[in-house]
Amino acid sequence: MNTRKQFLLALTGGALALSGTVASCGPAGSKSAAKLKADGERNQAPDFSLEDASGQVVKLSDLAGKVVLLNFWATWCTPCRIEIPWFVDMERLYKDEGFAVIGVSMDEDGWDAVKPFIADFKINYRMVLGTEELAQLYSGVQALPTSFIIDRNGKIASVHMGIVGRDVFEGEVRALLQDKSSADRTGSDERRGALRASR
Amino acid sequence: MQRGKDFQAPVKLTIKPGFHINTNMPGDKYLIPLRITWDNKLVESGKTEFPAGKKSTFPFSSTPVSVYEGNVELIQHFKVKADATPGLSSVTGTLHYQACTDKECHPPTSTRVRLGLDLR
Repeated sequence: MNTRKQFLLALTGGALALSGTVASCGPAGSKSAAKLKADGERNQAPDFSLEDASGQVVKLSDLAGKVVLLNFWATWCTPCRIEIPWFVDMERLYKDEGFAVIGVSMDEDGWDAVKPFIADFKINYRMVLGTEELAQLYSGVQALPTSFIIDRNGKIASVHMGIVGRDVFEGEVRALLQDKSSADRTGSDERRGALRASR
Repeated sequence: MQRGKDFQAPVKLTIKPGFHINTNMPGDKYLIPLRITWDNKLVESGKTEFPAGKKSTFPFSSTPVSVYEGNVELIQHFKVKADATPGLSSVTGTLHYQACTDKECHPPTSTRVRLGLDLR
């Protein structure tokens, strides 16, 4: 069994009962940070290196100095599909200010499922295929979509499990982009080294 | 249930409050349809009757998608094989589905289905 399938099985939700079995609990509540975590409460985002749809390597640590929205999603996930046009807009609007979206598809069928979707939805940001290892590293991935907003220091400033409003994402990203204290180039270089060392 | 004869059986699903699953024809090429497969050697499986789903509209598409919520009853048609051994037995299958709430989704998964048989 490959690692993608293991991940998907691990996330199996017990949403269904058969032959009249009474359900024991409701849906997992959508959890999202009400606001950005304070600087001292942020954990380092685990680094990863995966190929995008064109075969180019996407390495999180190479984005040090940028604000990153890391979105775990899948083509069959309807709430994910609501968010994706927002991320397309945000990539376009804030790219030049030091912002990047990275999509992490958890589709079991890999690029066969994801590439047509990228074309259909005119996705303009980088996309990689997630693995069980990556999902484990980002332990908050229990359902889709799950998004991590990563500050310029490579630290996780907020986590959103389940869909939240565009205004929430955009507000947090703009706040982090305006935080100039962590945007200096020297700091970015140091952070890049730290991220690499932590792998 | 007599050997060589047709019969039908209900498959009752109870979907937890707040969740929905796609119907067998969700109406969107990216959505994963509900499927049921049977693997028993005593019977031949025929058509499955799926009830109409609830039409839900999402912001990503003007076309509504078809989902099930709450209690759903499928009707499965079978034919007992002529050479099946009489007696109490069962037929087993697998229900393949994908569930979401309004806010999040769980990956495609499956669950085993077992129906009791009294073959004569």
